[in-house]
Amino acid sequence: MKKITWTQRNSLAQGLSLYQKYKHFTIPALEETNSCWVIGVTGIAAAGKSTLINPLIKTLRKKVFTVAALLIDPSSEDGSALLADRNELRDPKLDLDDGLFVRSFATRGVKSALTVALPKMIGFTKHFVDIVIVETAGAGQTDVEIENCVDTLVQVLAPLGGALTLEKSGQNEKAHIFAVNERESFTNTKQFFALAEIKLGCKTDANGWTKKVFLVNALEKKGIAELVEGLWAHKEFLENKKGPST
Amino acid sequence: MYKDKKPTIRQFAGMGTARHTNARLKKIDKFGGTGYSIAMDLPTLYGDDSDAPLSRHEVGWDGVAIDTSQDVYDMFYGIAIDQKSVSFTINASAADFMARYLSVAQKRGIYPSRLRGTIQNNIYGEHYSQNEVLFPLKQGVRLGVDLMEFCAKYIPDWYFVSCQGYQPRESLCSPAMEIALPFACAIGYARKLLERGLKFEQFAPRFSFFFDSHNNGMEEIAKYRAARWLWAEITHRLFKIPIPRKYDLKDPKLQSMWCRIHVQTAGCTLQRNRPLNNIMRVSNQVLWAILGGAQSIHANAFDELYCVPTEKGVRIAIDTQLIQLHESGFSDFPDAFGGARALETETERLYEEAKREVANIENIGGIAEAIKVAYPQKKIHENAVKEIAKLEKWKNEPDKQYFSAKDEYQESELADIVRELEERRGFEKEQLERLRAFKKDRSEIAVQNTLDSVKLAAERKENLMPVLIAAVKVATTGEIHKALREVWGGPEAMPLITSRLSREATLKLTGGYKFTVPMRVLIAKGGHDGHTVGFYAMQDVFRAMGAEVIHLGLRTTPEVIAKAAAEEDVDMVGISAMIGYAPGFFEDIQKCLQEVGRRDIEIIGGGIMLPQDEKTIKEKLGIKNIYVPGTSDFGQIISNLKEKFGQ
Repeated sequence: MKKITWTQRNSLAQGLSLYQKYKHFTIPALEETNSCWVIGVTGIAAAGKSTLINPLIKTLRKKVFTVAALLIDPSSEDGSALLADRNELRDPKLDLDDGLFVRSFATRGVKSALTVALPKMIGFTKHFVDIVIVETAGAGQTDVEIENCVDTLVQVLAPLGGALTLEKSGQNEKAHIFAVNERESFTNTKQFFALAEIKLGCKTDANGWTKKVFLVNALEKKGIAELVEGLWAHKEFLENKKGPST
Repeated sequence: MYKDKKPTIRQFAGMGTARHTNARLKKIDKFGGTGYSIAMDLPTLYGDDSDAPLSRHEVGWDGVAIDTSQDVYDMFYGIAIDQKSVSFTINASAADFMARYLSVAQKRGIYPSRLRGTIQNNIYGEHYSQNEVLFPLKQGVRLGVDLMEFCAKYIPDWYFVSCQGYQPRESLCSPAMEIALPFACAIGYARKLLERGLKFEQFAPRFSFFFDSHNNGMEEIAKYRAARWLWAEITHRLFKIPIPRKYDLKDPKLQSMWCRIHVQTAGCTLQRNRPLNNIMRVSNQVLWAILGGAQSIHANAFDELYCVPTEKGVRIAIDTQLIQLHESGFSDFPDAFGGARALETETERLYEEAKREVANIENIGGIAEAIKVAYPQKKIHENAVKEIAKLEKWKNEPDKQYFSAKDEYQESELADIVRELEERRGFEKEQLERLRAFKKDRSEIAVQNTLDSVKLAAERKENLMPVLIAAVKVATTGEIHKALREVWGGPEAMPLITSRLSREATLKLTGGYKFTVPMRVLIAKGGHDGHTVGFYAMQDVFRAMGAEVIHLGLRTTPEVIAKAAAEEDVDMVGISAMIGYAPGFFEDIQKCLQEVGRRDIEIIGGGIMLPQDEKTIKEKLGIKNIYVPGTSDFGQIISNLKEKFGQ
């Protein structure tokens, strides 16, 4: 069973702190690694991102990959922040999992080091684990543009609004996979899912990837296996694409 | 209260293992108590066995440790449970415990219909106060309602739910909220039971309510009166119980309108300094309960805020009640001051305020929805911050020096407690031995079969009680709840509560100090305990100082805290520990941080503990920043922080 040792864990944790503290911090001679897979998870506030990440990590951990989760939340105006995503990942199965690393960040304002250093931080994390999951509030909220530094971008949608909302949401063009998060309090989930499939799914992006839409229920952990399948399909697609060119 | 029926003297018991509690119950009989109120230890309340990792330093500490039906049997050995009114303070794991109690009654040949008593079983209440929660809200409520339905059908004299305003009040909510919350819960349960095809008058006479008796006498007496008024109105307006034409006291429809009240004197008013002064406080509060017409009273022992009371404490508490009952002369006059202008005005005010709150909760969509949007939690939190700030101010007022001053007799007043507590440290070992012996003696196949039957029943919609009564004979508390959790899942994450208002108030606490660089603080609640007042206060205080607060939530073991602290690379770990052996807990955390190579992380702790435990933590473990509400000065911690992290 693969695991992250305590030495690795502490180096990773303290390295990330340095990146966040000093905008221009770099570790020289750090080679790019390609074997690591970076998944980005975005979505508007309360769409259910962190709730979704919990079963997502569990499913990925079952396949014996080591996982690092970087969770980004906005800071308040006064500089303080309440980072509660980690609490959502509390679970008897994950609490003491030695193949899992969880780290929460506050953005510390719009033009902070985090915005600049995030690609470097992800690059650094790649050296320690098989899969990196990055969660941010996404477009407009934190100004962290993660689509450029991840391999697979998942957008979590809450079934709110109708066709027009789907046209509007800013990041829709960039995401590879959409997850419509079903919840009790929304009654028109089925309809919204159908609309999302029409508007967002089955479109092919510049690289030739056909977008996919999944219906999940993060709280009741339904549809997660299918979502993970979709993620793997995208990874395979990326690898195949890379194959001939190298 | 009735002229010829005096309130039950219901004394708190439950400590250590079954053997210790049995001895204590017999002693209470001797002292003159007329009922029992049994408290379980935290592992039992949270459906864990004594050998679970979270149970360390908690077994038998603030109640009796119950792992098996044998424990319940031994606890009541030689006590006539068919002639005593017994009350159990247990919620999330109430159904399991009640099943054990019933199976013991069965073993002793007592018919269920002869049992009398109360089981708290208010799971909604746990979601907004103590967070003693094991399952998602929906399933937790189902288990509770299963128990209610079963009792309503087969144990006619059993009060199967006690909706408590006590806990929110102890978390410092307003008195109006204290009335409104239990009523909102009762409305919720009533609707569930009606859905199951029971008639309102079939179960409503067995609803009971549990209130606090605080310091402000006039307000307290008015509170009980307002509560009775409002409950009658709710049953009439919401559940269509007609106003009786003739007062037949045996008529269940009339009984449905009665708000039967158990009162406990306010634990949060007890002070750590000059502990004997607490006897006067309790005496007053007992008087308010008598004047307010409570059906059953539990007077706190003066040392109850330190631990399960010592024998001396229990005796004084019972005597306090007896003295107020027989010597004050008020007990001969039901509603002695009814009609007094001040009292009537106060009653009306509380009635109106509480009615508005009940209406607010109903408008949100009932108590379950209100809990989901954290309405009660926010209300309690807002008031708590105000109250804490008020008490902080009292410390500096010259005429209130009695309140926080220490004196030289204090150490000797506590000597008894210290001695008894030393003995209690052995409970954990003894209980683990009992549990091991029980597990050795049973057939593993039978256990597996039983647990499978529990899981099957949990998936279906049938009433779980008959299955549980059969299951408790071989399975332990921890095993049954683990099986149920496998089907239903664990509790939902705890909702986040912050409010602008409280942050302004906390600014006063910090004295305007702000960290110079972005600080990262991990806050967690150790052990099973779910009291969150200190936890949220800590969160707000750190945020007011400009820190990034990482919220790890409830029920954390030292290992989990250490892992999170290392991964988040925090500067400080804030831990709130309320119950159990505090030094042991802090020592474990220190050890775990050491193991992961992060001894440099500063620990800040808070909680209720004995002065000697505080001393041990500060001197032996070298953790300087310990805040004990009531005695420590928060300014001291601020100056420690300034020294370490700069002005």
